[in-house]
Amino acid sequence: MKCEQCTATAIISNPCLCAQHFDKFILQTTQDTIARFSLFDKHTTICVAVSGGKDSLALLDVLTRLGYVTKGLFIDEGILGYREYSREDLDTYSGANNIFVTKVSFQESYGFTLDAALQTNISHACTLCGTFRRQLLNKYSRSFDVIATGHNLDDEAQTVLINLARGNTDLFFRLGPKTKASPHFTKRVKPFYFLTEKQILTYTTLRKIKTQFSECPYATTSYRAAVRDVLNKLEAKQPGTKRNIINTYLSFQEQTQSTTKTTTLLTICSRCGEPSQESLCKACIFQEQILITLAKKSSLK
Amino acid sequence: MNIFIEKTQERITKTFSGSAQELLKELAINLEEILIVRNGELVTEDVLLSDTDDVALLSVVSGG
Repeated sequence: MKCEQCTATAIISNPCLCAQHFDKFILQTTQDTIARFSLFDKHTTICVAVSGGKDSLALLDVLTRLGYVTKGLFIDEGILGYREYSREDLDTYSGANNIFVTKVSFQESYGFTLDAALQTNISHACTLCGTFRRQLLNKYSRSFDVIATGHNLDDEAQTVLINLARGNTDLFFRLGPKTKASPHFTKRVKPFYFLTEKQILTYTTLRKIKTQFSECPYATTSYRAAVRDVLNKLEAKQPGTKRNIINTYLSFQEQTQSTTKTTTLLTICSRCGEPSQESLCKACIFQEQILITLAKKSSLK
Repeated sequence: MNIFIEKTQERITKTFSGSAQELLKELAINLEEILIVRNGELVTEDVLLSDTDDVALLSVVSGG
């Protein structure tokens, strides 16, 4: 297969490009997304949420090459046999490229690791992890203009379908490449919104950015994993499926924007001072339940 | 041919000649979920593979 822009051999078939033109494609697509949705500019202070996986390291790399100044924020959930490996890859990359990374953990912030919290059976892994992660990301990115995440086209197509399937209408209307800035929340942006997971791995492979294959042990049985597998089958049967889902969603969002009202009213959690829908935020409720259950378990030993 | 499947960490030695796409079909692996690396170089699915090739199938899916 030849590159569609020159005579060199292609290294990827969608789009059909050689290594050199693929590199340009990644940079250009990211820059176009930043410009099209006014995500940020060269004066914006950008915090990149980094896990040490391929998406976040690629995002740090691409934004740096495009001339944006970034700092990283790493959250260690405390998942043994998973997070320590991506942390190593992050340390290697950030050390070699002089990128400052703030590191926070569930253990320091809440008093337990995710592994320990799951022994209490209080809620599903992704629910607990998502609640605590979102709170820490928001809390530690407050001094920045935006927080950029490595969410890609696969993630976003999955999220659209998940919210449709679950009937999460309120959340459904708030998806897309950016959230609105508010006094309580740092604006969240997704510069890789139009790049597929496969294109991002191709990029890190070509750039020799070391990331190892690792899948969260708790994610393999999640609903998202099931949706991901279905979408990959559909994409193989009909290429363009994921992109069509995203484009249809954006078009729908644009048409309904003027008539859609956000129904969620926010207050401040009386315990931790973070934004919340109730007088106590979900993170504080979960934290209390987990700490009590862990203390009971410990006293029974 | 030596084949490394990253997702399952399997290493297979088998006799095969044909395109990478045909190999994936034989292994029941979805092209959407892997990158094909032949002798250390990224290649597309139409590339013809021979018995002397080292092939790695890198998993696209990762994270949480």
